[in-house]
Amino acid sequence: MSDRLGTYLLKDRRTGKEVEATLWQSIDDRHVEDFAQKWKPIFETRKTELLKRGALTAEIAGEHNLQDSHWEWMRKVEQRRDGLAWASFAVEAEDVTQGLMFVRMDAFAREPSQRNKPIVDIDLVATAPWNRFRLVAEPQFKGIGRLLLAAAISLSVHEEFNGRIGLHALPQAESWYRDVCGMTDLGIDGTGMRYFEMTEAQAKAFVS
Amino acid sequence: MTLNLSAHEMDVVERLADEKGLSKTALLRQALRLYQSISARLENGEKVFVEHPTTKEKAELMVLS
Repeated sequence: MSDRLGTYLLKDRRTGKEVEATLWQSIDDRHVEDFAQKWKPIFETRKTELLKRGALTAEIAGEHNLQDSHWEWMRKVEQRRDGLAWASFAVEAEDVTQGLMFVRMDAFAREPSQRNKPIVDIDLVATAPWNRFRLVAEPQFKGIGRLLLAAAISLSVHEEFNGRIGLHALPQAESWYRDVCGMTDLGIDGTGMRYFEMTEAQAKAFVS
Repeated sequence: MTLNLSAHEMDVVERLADEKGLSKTALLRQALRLYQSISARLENGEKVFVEHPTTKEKAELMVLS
């Protein structure tokens, strides 16, 4: 069952107006249904278009903001439902799921100033396809990623982790985490992905 | 629920809570998450290892579930 955490304003780039969005903890059936019925067809349509032009490599998927289109949210929700280490969040606006996130609370920091202290680790985070640059001509809502990142920080504070969070970034999102969010880049690790961490001070700066 | 711990166990709880910057309650919640997570992996037939940072030698983590 989901708990309503609050309502926030998102900017609709298409109209220039602010729209009320609701943040939920945890991901509910209706959120994964939206993924299957509303997000996935857009991903599949674009993939089909790209395949007609040639092989759909990871690089091409990244250029078109499709790198996460294979994530199986429904299966993840099923698998993680009873896990105490997992928490999930969803953002809704205009009665549709606009963003989804899974985090784990059994991870430990690597950044030297906070090494081995507990952190909230963002495992999966995604915004709806109609909000993505390079996937649609005119992306709709701005601020889904920021809202979900703030939710992870808030959970970290609630769990006494002082706002510390970590994540592995998809290549196209690396500069956003480093330059916009102010996270520390700890380089590419054994996963083959670049790992970022936010310290307590960086978390305070992000939410202020 | 009342948790009965020996003096030694309580010392460990206090030391770990201090090291991690957590209250004793938060530490025990964290411990429960980790215990459940590792137990679930072992129940699924997975193996959990710890790796030495330089020699890369791996030791299997044994948890009685």
